[in-house]
Amino acid sequence: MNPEIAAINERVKEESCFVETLTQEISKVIVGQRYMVDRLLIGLLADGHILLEGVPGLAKTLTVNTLARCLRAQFRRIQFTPDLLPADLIGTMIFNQKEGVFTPRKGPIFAHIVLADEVNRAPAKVQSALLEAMQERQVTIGDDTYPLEAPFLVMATQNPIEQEGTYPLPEAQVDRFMLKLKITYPDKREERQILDLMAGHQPPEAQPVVTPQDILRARATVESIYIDDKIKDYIVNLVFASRYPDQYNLNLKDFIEYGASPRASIYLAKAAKAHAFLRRRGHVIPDDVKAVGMDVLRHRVIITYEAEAEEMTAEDVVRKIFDQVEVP
Amino acid sequence: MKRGCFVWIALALMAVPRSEGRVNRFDDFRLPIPDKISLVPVGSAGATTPSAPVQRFAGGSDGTTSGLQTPKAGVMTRAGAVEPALETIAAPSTPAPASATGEPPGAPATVSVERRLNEAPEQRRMGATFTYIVTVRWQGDLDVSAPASPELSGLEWINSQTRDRIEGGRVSRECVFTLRPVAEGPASIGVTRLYYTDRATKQQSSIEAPGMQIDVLPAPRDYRPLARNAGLALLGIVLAAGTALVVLRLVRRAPEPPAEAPRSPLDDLAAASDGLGVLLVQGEAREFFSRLARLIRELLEATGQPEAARQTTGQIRERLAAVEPARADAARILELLEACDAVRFAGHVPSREECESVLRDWKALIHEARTPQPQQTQPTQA
Repeated sequence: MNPEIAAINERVKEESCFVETLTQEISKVIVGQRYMVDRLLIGLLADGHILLEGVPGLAKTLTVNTLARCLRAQFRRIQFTPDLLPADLIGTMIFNQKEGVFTPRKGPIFAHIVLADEVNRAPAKVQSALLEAMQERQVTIGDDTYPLEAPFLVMATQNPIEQEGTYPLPEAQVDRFMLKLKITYPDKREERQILDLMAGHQPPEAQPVVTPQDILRARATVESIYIDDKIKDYIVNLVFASRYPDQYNLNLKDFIEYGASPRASIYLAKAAKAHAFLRRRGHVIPDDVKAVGMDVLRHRVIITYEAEAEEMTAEDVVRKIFDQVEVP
Repeated sequence: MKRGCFVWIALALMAVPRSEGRVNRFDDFRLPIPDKISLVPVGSAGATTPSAPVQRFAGGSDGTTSGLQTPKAGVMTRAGAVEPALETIAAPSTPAPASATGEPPGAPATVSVERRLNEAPEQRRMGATFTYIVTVRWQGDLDVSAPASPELSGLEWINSQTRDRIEGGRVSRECVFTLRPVAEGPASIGVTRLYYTDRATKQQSSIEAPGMQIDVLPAPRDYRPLARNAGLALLGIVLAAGTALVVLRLVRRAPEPPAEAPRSPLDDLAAASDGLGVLLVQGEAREFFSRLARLIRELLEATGQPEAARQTTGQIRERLAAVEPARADAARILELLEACDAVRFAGHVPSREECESVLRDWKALIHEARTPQPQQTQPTQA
C-alpha cells in the first residue's frame, strides 16, 4: 500500500477509537436512532452544521443534548420563538453603571454545541443572525467581533407539521447546513426498549467521555483521509447530474428547478471522509459517498411545481440520481 | 407488382381479336358504297328485249359519271375513279303510259340496275357472311319481277330479302342476298337477271346485273383461345410470383443456420479477460483492477444483478446476502471486488504475483459461470 495512505489508515485507527466509546455512551440514553447519531458525529467531525427535521417526540433534542454532554462541551439550547430578537441569540452591549462603559454580553450562541430548537419559528432577522454566525464562525457585538470557539456546531431542528406562523428557511440559508436529517419513528423493538428505559424512576444520564480537543484532533485526521480521483469524479458527476440530468440519461429535467451548488460537492467529500473515519478507514470508497449523499443533497436540490404535482420529492430525485450515475 | 399485372392484362386485351359486328376501328363506320354503278338510258344499246340479245356495254372511257339522262354511261369506283361499266341496262323502246308513281303519260320508261357488295374486301373471309345487293330502279308503268338468285361459285346462299321503296317518282327494289364463302381464293357471283313487263304494251324485257369476282380471304385468325390461354398464363404467372414471394419471405424468416451460435455475455467476458493479461504485461496495475471491477459487475449483470454497474461493493454485498444467499461464487466475487477497491480507492500497490493471482481467480470464476451446472437431484428416501 502507498506508505502515506498506510500512515493515514494507522492514524485513523488510532484517532477513531473514541467513536465506539462515544456511541456506546450515547446509546445508554438514546435507543436506536443510530442513523441520527452517526450523522451528528459526521457533522461534528466534518465541521458542518446539521438541520434535523422530524415530528415531535423523536428524541431530537435529547440526542443533541446527550452528545454535548458526552463531549464535555459547552452546550446551549435556544428555543426559537416569533418574538426572539437577534440580541437574544448573539448577545448585546450592556451599560455598566458602575464603570460607566458598555460591556458586551455574549449570547447563547457562544458555545461548542448550539441547539436551535424549531428554528423556523423565529423571524428572518434572527435566522439570519444565526446563519451568519454559522458561516463566519464569529459574532459582532457593537464594534467588536468575537470568534466562536471550536468546535462550533449548530444543530437546528424544525417540525414538518404545524406550518402556521412559521418562517421557513430560505434555500440560500438551508444550503449552509452540511446535512439535513430526516428523523423517523423507531421500530417496534426500539420502541419497546425506549419504554423500558425511560419508564423507570431514574432515567439514565450520559457521562463525558470525549473532550473537544479529541474532536479537533479527529477533525485534522478526517481532513487527511485519502480520497481518490475516481471518488472525486464520482462526486462531481453526482452534483452535475442534479444540474444537467439529461447528460446522465436522467429524465428529471422537468422536475429540477435548481441543482446542487458547489458547496454540495465540498460537503459531499467532507462528509464522505467523516463517514470513512467512523468506519475506521483512511480512504474514501463509493459506499461512503452513497451513505451520506442523501443527507447532503436532499435540501440542495430544488424541485419544480411539476414535480410537486407529480408528488415527487427532492429525495426521489436524489435517489434516482444515485441509482443512475455509475459508480467507479 | 400491381403495375406489372395491369400491363399484362392490358396486353392480353389488346391481343383479343375484334368480334364480328363489334366496332373497333374508324373504318367500320364507312357507309357502304357500291363497287360499281352503271347508268344507261333506256333505249340505248344496253337495253334488251326478249327478242333482242343482251348486249354488254363496254364504253365509258371518258371517265365521267352520268345521271339517268346522261347519254353516256360509265362505272364509278369506290375510290372515285371511273372504270368501264359491266352492267347492262335495258329500256323500253316505246313511251310508257302514266304510271302509278305519278309520272306523266308518255314519259319514257327507264330501268336501271346496280349491284354491290356491302362489306369491304378485307371482310370477305372464310366463315364470315357478306351481303350482295342488287338494286333495280325504274320509272314508268312497268311490272318488274324479283331477281333470281345468281349462280354462285365458291359461295353458298344463306338467304335473300327484297324490299321496295319510292324515291322521287322512281321505284327502287333492293334484293339483298346473304352469302357465305365455302372456300378460300377466288369466288364468283353470276349474272343476276331481272324481267320486267311494260303494262301498256305487255312487252316483256329483261335486264341483268353482271356477275363479279371476289377474292375470299382466309378465315380470320381467332385470337380468343390465345387470349384465354394468355389470360390463364398471366394468372399462372401472378400466382407463381405470389407463391415465390411468400416462399422468399419464409426463407428470409427462417432461422440462420446454426453454424454460428450467438455469443453470450459470458463469452464476451471471457474474451475481455484476455485483455486483462495484456494490461498486466504492460504494468498497468491500476487500469487492470479498474477494468476487472467493471468486468465483475458485468458478470453480476449477466447472472441476475442488473443494477450492479451502479452499485457499490457494499450494496452488492448486501444484495448477494439478501437475494442470493446460496450463490456459490459470492464470496469469491466479493473478495475480488474488495481487491479492486483496495487498489482503486485505497492506494494499494499490488505486486505482480498478487495481480496474477487475481487474474487466475477471475478466469476460474468466468469458466465456472460458463460451464453449465449439473442438475442437483434430490436424495430419495429409502
